[in-house]
Amino acid sequence: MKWITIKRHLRDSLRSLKRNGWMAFAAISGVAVTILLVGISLALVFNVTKLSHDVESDVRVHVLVEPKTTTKQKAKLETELNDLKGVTKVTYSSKANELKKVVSQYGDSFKMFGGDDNPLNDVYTIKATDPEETMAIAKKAAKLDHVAKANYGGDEAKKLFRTMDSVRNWGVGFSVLLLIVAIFLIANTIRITILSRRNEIEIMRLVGATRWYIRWPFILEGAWTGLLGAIVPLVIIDLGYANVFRAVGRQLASSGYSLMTPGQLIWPLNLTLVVVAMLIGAFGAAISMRRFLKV
Amino acid sequence: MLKLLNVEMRYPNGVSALKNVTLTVEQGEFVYLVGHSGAGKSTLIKLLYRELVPTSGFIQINNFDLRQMKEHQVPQLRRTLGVVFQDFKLLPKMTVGENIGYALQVIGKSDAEIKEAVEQVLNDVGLEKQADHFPNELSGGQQQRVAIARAIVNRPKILIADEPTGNLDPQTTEGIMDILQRINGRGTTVIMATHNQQIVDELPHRVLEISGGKIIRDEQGGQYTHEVDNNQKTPAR
Repeated sequence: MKWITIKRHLRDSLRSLKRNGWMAFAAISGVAVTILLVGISLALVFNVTKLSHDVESDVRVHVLVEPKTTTKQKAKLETELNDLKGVTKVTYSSKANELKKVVSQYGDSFKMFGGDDNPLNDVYTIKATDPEETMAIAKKAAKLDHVAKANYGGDEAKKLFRTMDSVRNWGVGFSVLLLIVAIFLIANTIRITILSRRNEIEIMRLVGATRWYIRWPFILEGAWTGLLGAIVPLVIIDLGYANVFRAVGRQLASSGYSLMTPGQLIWPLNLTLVVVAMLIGAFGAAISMRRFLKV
Repeated sequence: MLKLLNVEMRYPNGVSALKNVTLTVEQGEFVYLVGHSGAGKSTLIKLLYRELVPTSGFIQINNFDLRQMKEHQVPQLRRTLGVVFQDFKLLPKMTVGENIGYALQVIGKSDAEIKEAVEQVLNDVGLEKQADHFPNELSGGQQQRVAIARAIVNRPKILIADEPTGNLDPQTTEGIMDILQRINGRGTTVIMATHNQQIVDELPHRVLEISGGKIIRDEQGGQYTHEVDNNQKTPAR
């Protein structure tokens, strides 16, 4: 294709979008609603996937130290924990520190347990090389001196994995379904706008335009419709996600997990949705025109 | 230039629109196609610009064999023809200049060439000041002049007009006929379907009369109605 032809197709498509005002607005609005739904469900799926991955790869053993254990005894215990097979990291957190976590998660009313009233234990958190080994580590740690209890989540972790898995699967299924609905909705909206312009296509054919010469501006117009339709929902999703991240992220942080940061989520999500919207717009236009281009 | 040999056109619903039509038109001729509504004039016109493909027979225009040609060759044929309709068929979202220029745009002319040709042809049809208007801002006569300008802008050898004055008042019709006569004077073949008796009688050219899908009269310099018919009608008046 010659450069002058490409330039004309681009110019014609933008001009046509402008001159078809209300029809273009209707098509853009249709795209916007659909992209908003797809965007929200994709943001959900991306985050559930990340969280379940975090949980899977981050199963830890919490070793609660008996009260009144001396500093010397704790140091010995830490060495013994470090020597256990499959342990990568042992982190110490005093009972005062544990209380701080509780306060930040459940509120200031728990401050009353400060000082000598603190019922919590000092805790060693053990990270395993392999999530599978957490159970064995917990069993061995429980037998060591000055250990009150060794938790590894056990059944709870398994239950969490199952829940995460099903949320992820349903999320993916829902997104795929929404995407299919989006394809039909966007293609149909564009189809209606093209139906109203079938005379235009007929006239173009009459003056000797080839099928592709007629098709290109419509395809590009479809792509612009997709692009413009994606802008508003993306702004809503981007701003909305930043707020959700701030609100939910703070609560999750105390449990050691985190949502995808807006920086991690927004660019891939925006790019995916813009490309999807433009492709659907372009294909929708191409498919809708087919019957009017039969000479 | 233009040859039809034993052309038959039967629509999918079984209606036979043209029967055994044989015809030759030479370069530079002006031909009126006359006949009652439903006689087959529009079908014949549609066959000429290949909107329809004949059921049987042979049609050759500007060295294109219309029955054998592939779909992708149709635009090439149409670029050698100019077609004008009763309802103008202008692109409503394009200005007058853009409507005319579109016919040149599709054959890859540069913007400068298009601008020059559009100015010239608008001058020819007397609409040089309307280049930036949209079709709905023009009168019927002006719209038809734009349609003619678009049809002739790439200097086609044949101009096909399907009742080009059908929607126009007598004065505007006269102006349109002036333009068509001038185009014909430059050597372009003009084939015009019409119901307008006054035009045919006052501006005599070759007349092809179609009735029931057949050519029943082919007369150089003929009248709208056959002389025998006139003689028969005269006593009745």
